[in-house]
Amino acid sequence: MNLRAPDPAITQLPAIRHPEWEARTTGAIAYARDIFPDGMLVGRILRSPHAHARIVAIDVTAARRAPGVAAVLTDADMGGRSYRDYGQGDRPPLARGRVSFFGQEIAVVAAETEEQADAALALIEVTYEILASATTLAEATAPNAAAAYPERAPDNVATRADREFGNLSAARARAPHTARARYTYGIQAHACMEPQSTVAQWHEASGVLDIWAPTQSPRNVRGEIAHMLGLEPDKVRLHRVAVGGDFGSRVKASDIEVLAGALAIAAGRPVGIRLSRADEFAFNKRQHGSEIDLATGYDDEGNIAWRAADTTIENGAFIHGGSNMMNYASILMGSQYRLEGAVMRGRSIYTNRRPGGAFRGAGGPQAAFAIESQMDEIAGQLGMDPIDLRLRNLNRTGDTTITGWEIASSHAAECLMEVRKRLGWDAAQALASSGRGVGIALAMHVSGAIVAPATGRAEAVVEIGHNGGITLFSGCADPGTGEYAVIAQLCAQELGVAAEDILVEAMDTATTPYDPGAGSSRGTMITGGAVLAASRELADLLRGEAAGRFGCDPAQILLSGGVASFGGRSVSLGELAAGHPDSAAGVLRVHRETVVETPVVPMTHEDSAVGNLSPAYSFAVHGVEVEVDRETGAVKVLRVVAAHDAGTVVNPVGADGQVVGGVVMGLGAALGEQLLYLDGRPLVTGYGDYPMPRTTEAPPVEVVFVGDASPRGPLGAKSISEVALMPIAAAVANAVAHATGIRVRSLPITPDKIIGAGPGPRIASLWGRPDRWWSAAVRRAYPTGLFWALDRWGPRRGGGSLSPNGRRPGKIENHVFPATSRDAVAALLGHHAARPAGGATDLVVAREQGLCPATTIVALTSCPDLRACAADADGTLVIGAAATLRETAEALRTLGQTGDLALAETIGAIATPQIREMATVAGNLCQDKRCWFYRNGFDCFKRAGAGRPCYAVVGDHRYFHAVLGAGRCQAITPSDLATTLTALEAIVVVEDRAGQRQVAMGDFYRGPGEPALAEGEIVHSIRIPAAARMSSVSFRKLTLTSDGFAIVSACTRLERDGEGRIIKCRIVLGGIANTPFRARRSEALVAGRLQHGVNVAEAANAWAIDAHPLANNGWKIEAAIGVLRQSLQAALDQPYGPAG
Amino acid sequence: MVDMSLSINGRVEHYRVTTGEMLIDILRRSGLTGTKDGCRRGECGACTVLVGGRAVLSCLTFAQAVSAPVETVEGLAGEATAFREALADLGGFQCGYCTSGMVVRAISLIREGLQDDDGELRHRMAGNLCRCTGYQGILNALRVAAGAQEVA
Repeated sequence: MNLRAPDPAITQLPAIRHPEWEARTTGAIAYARDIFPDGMLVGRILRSPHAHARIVAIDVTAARRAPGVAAVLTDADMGGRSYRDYGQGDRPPLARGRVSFFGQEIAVVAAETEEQADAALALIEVTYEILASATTLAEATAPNAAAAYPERAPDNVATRADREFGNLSAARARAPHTARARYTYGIQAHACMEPQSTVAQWHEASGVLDIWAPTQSPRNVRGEIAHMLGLEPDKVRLHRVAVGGDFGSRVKASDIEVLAGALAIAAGRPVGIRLSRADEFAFNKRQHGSEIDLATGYDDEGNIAWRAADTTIENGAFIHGGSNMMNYASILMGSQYRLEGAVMRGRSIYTNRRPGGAFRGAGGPQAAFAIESQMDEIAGQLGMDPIDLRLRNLNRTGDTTITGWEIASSHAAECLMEVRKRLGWDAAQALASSGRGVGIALAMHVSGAIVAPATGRAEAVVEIGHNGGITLFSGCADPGTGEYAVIAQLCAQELGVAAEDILVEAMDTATTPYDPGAGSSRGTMITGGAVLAASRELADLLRGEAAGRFGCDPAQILLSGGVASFGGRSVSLGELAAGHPDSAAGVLRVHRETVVETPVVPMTHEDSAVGNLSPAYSFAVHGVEVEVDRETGAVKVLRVVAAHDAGTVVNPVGADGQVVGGVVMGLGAALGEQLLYLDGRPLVTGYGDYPMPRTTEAPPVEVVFVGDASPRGPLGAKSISEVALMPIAAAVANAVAHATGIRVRSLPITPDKIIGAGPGPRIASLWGRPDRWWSAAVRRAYPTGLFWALDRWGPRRGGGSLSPNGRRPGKIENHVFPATSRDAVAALLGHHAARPAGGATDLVVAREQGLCPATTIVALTSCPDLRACAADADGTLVIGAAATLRETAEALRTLGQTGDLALAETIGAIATPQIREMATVAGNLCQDKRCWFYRNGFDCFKRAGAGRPCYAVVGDHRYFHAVLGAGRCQAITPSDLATTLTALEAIVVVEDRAGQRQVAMGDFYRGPGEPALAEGEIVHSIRIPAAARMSSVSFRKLTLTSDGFAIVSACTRLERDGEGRIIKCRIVLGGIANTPFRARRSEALVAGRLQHGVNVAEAANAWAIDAHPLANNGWKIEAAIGVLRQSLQAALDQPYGPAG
Repeated sequence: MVDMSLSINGRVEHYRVTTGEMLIDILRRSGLTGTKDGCRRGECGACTVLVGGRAVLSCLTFAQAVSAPVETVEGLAGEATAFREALADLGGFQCGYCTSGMVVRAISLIREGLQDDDGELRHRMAGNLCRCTGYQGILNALRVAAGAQEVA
């Protein structure tokens, strides 16, 4: 790249608004999901119901003949090609003779309507022969493991790398100490807000295929579509659309672009495939799983001498980005600090699970978590300050790492010092083991990994017309990275105009020049470099033209404000452009290709990968302060300081946003995000079960950029967007260790990992509890074959819900809006399959999940008599069943009794403001259980009949299953209102044909989320006795996000006399048993005592003796004790008088 | 099929609605594609609209149950100009997919009167997910637009 050395004095360009800010904030901009060509068909996918099976036969005849069907395709129609991906070629477009993961695409259908497409899918007959599978890293790497991809890797090792850097034996000789541990990272979902979508339209006459699809790498996706469909690349036109997030998931083709294209060609009509959110979580790319065994050798002074790492990546059924991630993580671990030697081994492993794909950071976050956690552990061993240890071992400007990386500029030390200062690090050291703590971590990252010629090359076109209008053409796309702002800014700088005055034409492969697309943080470096070079060349042409007119040297011409000036004279750029001899039709145009100067360093598993991987390296240090609740395991991040050495900051608003967004995405990985599976089937298919940070979890992030212009990179800029994610998780782990002394090496740091580190509560032996013998025996028998037998052979009622394609709910035929509760009951009894609806916020979701086959909906919110909320003459509060949660909370706050306020507080902890606006009181009480097996189509006991197993016993049950009293079903009642209302001894008024009856809240459930209501019965109202309203009540809840369902909750209610004697005590726990659990043993230790005579800890513990947890949820007992203790203490701390 | 009249962004028109159809589908097939389908489970807030001035999820709202006027991002963009400009100046959007819902929710909060307390503000915006920004720019823009002091 022929760029002048940047001016080191300029470290930041002026802030500008994004070129698309108006369209992106008014809803005007079109995403692929918003494209509706005339006559568009709906494309739907048939997916594998098995983790691994041979396809004996596929019969699509009936589907092809079905009404409204325009095309049905299987692999036999796809020309036998496989995706190139990263060169592996192991991914067919549709299952080829074999399905190798649950949810794999087998066939696609295009039809007039969704219903017709789904009906056609149901007509496709596939005969399977089930094969042994290996769905996890542990299964796939066990001796004699089943082969997930037998043709390619009988031992499941897809790729293997073994690299040695520097002088390992010399390094070992000078390092007397070794730190050694395994670090794992939960599998993150990209969770782009826009679910993956593609629209395709085929033009028979011209042979051009139009594609609208989100991607940050248009050429990549276009090339893959062309390759897969046997078209010339220029016959595939990828249009410009808004891209609703990428984070690596769309840098290579997903599974639907090619399928939509093939359907459009086969049908001769436009086709749209739109994944649902559940599809997106379950069947779109994800992050690869990873385990890093890291060893570090060091001496007494804290000099790091060597590192050795074994990196194991779980690819899923195809390699995709897995090998890339293994290579980059390995090499980064040999590069991040000064080392004398390193040995980096890695394997990428096939499993029978939905394949992963590239994810922001490409192994960097995982490597940083391992290195930076271990650095703190080493500092702890040496009794050294963790920042000092890092300062001692940093790469400095001018260093070349043992891996060959040339560090042309590093301000990592300044990053460390900035965080030290701004975090108040030195003073915070006194916090150790106080429950509060601070932690820091460092990361370095490439600014574009130049692993092939195509990744270091880009083109740009800049043109200026006779009226001065400037248009910049680039093949890049902007999925939120701010790239359009970056390139407009670079162009504007060179031409002396405002960035807002430049029209950016981007992404459309028919109108823009070659661009490698974003990836490995190359956007600013490579695309920006090309734009800068083209703009500079155009500026030089304009200067030359102006110099001719003014009779001066071109270097004396100043371009500013849209004019060229010298010695008091000026001329507009438009006039210069029109007058330039190279202009055509008044337009002066420059088309430039640039290639980075650094040589290519191939980085497949077969390469040594020694060499300077990138033109420049970015550094970041993140510091966090956390607060850990040792009783419940909850970790709260109080604040973050993020110091970055990114060279010159080209787009300040975007740069800041990349850092804050990266930090928060990394906090998700640190504290909650993880995709979980059972036998390759996803348990997480919505945001509700995916605790990525909400506003309530995202802490304030202080961003500071240090350093100056990098000698390499456009205007001295280096990368930001991936390194922004990399250090934060280790910083949190280090802060948690500082706050608690507990070192967690496996992300995410969910409360179980904090609580689980303790000794655990005392539970009574099962010998003395014959009521638990049967459950205990069944649980023991599950792993020995009972589960397998029930899963495989247990008869299914209804059947078929195991299909990943879901069962479409039947149509709603009637929606009735009665005027009174009497009419509602009559309507329910008068229609077949009728269900009452409050806000319908659960009903709609449950229908999609195949759990509510109602064809008639009876709205209760239309009945005024169900919405009243007022106190009776005797002080009893009556809350209408169909009052919304928001209305109810407002009314309660107005009424203002202590119990009312506690109930309002309980409501405030339920879901989100929008849900509270819609959901009703009775709807909350009657919502179905949230067990993620039950909800996600596992044909369990509750879903499919008595002969079926409970999947929670063998699957992941750490958070949302019972620890006490559960029999065949381990689910819990999700309603928080139920917990508090039980403590308030509320009465549920049930209305039926005969009139009304009253049920005590404590008797309202017959099972988890299963109210004791018969057909035609509705909840009319809730009655809360006056005494309960005036008592002291406190509700507490442990969740992973503010809108989350309770992992455990507790509500304590006390009635005290004037002397502070507790006359009555009710303690109810949510989330620990099938239904709200009255902790009578705890109540007994509180009731009758004087306020100050209550041993809170003893009372909080008392109930736990009856617990009977599953294998991995015993920690919830401890957490519930903690939540109960806090609730009891808060109730005791409330003021009391004769009545309260 | 039911014929019903709906007031959307101040215009009352007749719509043919299928029984059980969701408000979001009516909006999007009427060309108001600013309202986004992010999850269709009420978990992300991208489809937030105002019904009778209250912020609700159009993906969980049966169209037939709507009797009050509906306002979408298209109708609120003008009223939201200060907020939208602040989003652009403070990094309150990146990919833009959640932004429609954020704008609608923000307007409902600004109309209600914004609390100064940071925790309360975060709680009231917790129904709108964003994967790009880390929320800081959004919350700061909301404070600026509501005339509150920027706290960062």
